[in-house]
Amino acid sequence: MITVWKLNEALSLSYRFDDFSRIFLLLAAVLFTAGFVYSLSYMKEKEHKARYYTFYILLFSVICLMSLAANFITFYLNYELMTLLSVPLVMHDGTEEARVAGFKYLFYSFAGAYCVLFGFFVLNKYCEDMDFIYGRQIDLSTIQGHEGLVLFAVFMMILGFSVKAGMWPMHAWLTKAHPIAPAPASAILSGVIVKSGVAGIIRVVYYIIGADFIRGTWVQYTFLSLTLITILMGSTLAFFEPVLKRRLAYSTISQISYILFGIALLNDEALKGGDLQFLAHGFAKCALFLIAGIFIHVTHEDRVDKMLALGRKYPFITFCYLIASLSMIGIPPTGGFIGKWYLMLGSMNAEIRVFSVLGAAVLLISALLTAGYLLPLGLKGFFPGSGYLVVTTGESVSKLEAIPVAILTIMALLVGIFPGIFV
Amino acid sequence: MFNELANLSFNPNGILGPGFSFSVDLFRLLYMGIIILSWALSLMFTPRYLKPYRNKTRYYVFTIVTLIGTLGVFASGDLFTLFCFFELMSFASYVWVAQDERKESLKAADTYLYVAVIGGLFLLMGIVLIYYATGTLNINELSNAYMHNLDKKEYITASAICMFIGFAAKAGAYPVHIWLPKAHPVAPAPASALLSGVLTKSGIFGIMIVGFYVMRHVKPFGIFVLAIGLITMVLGAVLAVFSVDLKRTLACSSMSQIGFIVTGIGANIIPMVSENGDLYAGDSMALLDGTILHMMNHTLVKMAVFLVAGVVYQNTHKLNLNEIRGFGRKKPFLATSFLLGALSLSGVPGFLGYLSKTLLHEGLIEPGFGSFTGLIEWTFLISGGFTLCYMTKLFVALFMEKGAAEYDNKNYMSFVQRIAVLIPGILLLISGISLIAIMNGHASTLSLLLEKAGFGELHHISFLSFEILKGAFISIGIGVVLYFFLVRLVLMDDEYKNLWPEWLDLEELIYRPLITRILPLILGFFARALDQCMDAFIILLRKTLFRDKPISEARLEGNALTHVVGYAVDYRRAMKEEKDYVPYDYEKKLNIKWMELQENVKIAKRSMSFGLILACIGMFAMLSFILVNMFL
Repeated sequence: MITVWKLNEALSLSYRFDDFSRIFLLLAAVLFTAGFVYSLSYMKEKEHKARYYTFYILLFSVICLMSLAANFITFYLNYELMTLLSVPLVMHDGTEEARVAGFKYLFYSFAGAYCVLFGFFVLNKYCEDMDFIYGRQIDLSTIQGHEGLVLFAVFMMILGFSVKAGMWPMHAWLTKAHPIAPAPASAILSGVIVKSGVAGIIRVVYYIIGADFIRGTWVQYTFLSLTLITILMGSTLAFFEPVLKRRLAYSTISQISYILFGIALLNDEALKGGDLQFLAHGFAKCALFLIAGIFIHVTHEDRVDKMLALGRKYPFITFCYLIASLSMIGIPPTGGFIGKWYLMLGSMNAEIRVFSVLGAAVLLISALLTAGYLLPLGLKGFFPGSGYLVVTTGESVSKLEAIPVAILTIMALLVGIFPGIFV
Repeated sequence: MFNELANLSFNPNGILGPGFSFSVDLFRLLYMGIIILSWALSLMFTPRYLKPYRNKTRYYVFTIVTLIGTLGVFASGDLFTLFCFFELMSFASYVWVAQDERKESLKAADTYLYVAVIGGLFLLMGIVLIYYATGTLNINELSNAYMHNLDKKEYITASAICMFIGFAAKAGAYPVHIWLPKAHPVAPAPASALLSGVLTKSGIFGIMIVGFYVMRHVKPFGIFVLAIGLITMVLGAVLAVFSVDLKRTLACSSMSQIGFIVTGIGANIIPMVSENGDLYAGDSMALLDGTILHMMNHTLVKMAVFLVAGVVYQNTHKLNLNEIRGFGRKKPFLATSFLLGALSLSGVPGFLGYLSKTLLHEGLIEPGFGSFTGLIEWTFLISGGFTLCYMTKLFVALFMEKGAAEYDNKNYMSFVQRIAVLIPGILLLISGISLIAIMNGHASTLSLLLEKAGFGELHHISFLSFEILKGAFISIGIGVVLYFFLVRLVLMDDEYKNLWPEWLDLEELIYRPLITRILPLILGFFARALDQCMDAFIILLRKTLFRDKPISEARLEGNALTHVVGYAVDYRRAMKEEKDYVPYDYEKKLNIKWMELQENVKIAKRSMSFGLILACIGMFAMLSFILVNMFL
């Protein structure tokens, strides 16, 4: 553990490399590198490049620091910095819509932060320190008589972090902010920034409070219900959404809640599933957003039903789209499948009464909806049917855009084939 | 069920989580041999057939991928491996159905994909449930899972039903058969042969695992499977007789034959009661052998007849019986190949089909289903009659009647295609005769080998005795009567008529509206309500608590500060500069900056989340206050 700076005994900035840092760092590094290479080509024609790259790099460094945080205050500091630094990326286009989306994102994040802060103040009183140590349990003797308050504080922290993770009811910023940002920025938003909320919840539940404390309490059941509602809601809305990038944003809402569901189940198998889903969703969704950028660029359309026969002109990109979609749905051998497999096993083994089967069933219904909203674009790309109109402008895709997409797709497959290496 | 010959677990570096394991017994080996043979025949047939079309590479690549998936299904030692290969097979074979890219192909492909995805999800649910209930996925260890885990029997039953739905969707059993009559006619013929002959069997293999291992001797489940099998058998046969499309008839026939096989499996699950009333655990070897032989029989038959249909299509590009009438006249080779398959399917003595159907028949009447025995037996015999009826209809239409068009009798197929079309028919005849000879009681090396490998005692039946032949002849008699009275009198005048009502289509009637309209409508309503509720809450707050004023269009032209500072700077510059200085209007510039700032603030204030943040600050303050009061 490296302590950088110490205000007093309780408050210090310190960093440590542990198992979860490894997963988060890997995801952030791959996604930011891929997004950067992609940006070199994508942002060529856009204005304010200097601003974009500055904030992009700053954001990356802050996220790395956040994933390495060794105690809560360090984590929280970097978390807030990340929020502020990512706003310029959302607002990049400068239109009124972009600014509104940026503010919405900012204020929702603040609202979440207040909830987290409240929880922090309470917990700080009852915990001896706020260091992240895996599997630690809160000392039950010190909180005797105040269990209700501590539970409430934990719930507020979960709710606060869930703003970033896009869990219902605090998800509304996500569908505004993601579609409006430039493609690589939305890929980063959806792949990494959203995951920071997940990281926060994992850190609180497994590294500070301990799973046993909330197992079987109203906190667990409420958390479970919220995640299940979000999974279904996100998938359904994505199914109805005609605009590609907004559809992907709704898909993010649903898929992130898979991870949250894994956390809420509070057992090792489910957490393993959550971690795998964490990686698989990051790689696949990032690839999908980058591909969406390419598709929108070459067709000048943003609606899914207008994009036809893309597989004829861009077979490689469309194939990557299909593989990434299969990972989203959870078809072997992609990462999404392995994640879902462990999530379902974890769900069955958790002692949560009716939620066991219900959870597994919801995951499957959501998978069906996912197939419904992701596959048609890819399949119509390769099987447009006779008499289709060529809608592409015929521009070729730059290698700088194709290579990151390919690498991300391969990563999504690798997570599925060799899950043991990653988690 | 069968003695395992070899197994192999494969889990380097935690590949795919639980890892793969494979296991092989004689039945699986035999069937894998048939799969490879079928693929070889289909690939031999393909080059000439696909000559005029585009996208050939795609077809070949996905054919090979499907082969890997199918072999994997039959070689898998646990349900996880089976599921992975099953999905690979399902998705890769999508390309077959969509290959043509005609409108109806794409629609059929959609149906195929939906059924595959939904079936896959049911299967996954079943696998997860059984893993939870028994703690293992190894197929051999799952033997008698229900009887050994009676405390969790609800889970195992639910799991078995989920898995059954998943596998039945692939096998094409009622009521999840909908993809079968749609997908087979639109796929290229060598692919439909494999779809119908082999891919459906992977579903059957799965049903066997559920029935013979997990739910062995569970009577209600056996009756359920038996009932499904009987319905499929009759429905498929009736649909086939009514159809006037060559490949659709064959597809419906596949459905009917799948029904025979499922019936066999279902009857074999039911525990038999011995004469003194005790439950005895032995399985009916006649049923088991009949089921397995009928699987193989059906694969070979469908390879033959679908490839013949492919020959028809590659010359005429039509499939409607009225348009291809008389195509096969003066083509004795083609007629022979088709006839061999048709005879075996109809169960004419001498062929493999006779053997398998007789064994099924004997097995079905043996255990005794009380008053239902007669019903089951006659359903079985009448369905057999229908089989003969629609095969005769096809044969007569193709090879005997005179059609309007003249056809080329020389170069209608290549030499390699001839071999591919003939081999299955020959195999059917040879295996039929030799197996009848063996099973008539003449022990031979083959039968000893089969017995050793776990086929149990081979059922020694004197296949050529009158008692046994009677069943076959009743069926054939029913078929002849049906052909002359139903097909010739009712279903045709000059042309073949399709009297099956168009609207009576399970897919269009129930599934499509349910999946594409009703479910999304309900889900969508709730999802939208949930999506909007937070924003609606904030709007409510703004209208009530924060007293939101409407935006005024008038813009502020700066404030006092900007006026004063701007004026001062201007004045100072003007004093300092030369006489010809054109004053730079700092006052105006500051005013514009001020206006921009105001506008941004306005956007911020009007954004819904501003309300949220205010609410949260309020809550935070309140909670802090409570905290301070409580603890200090």
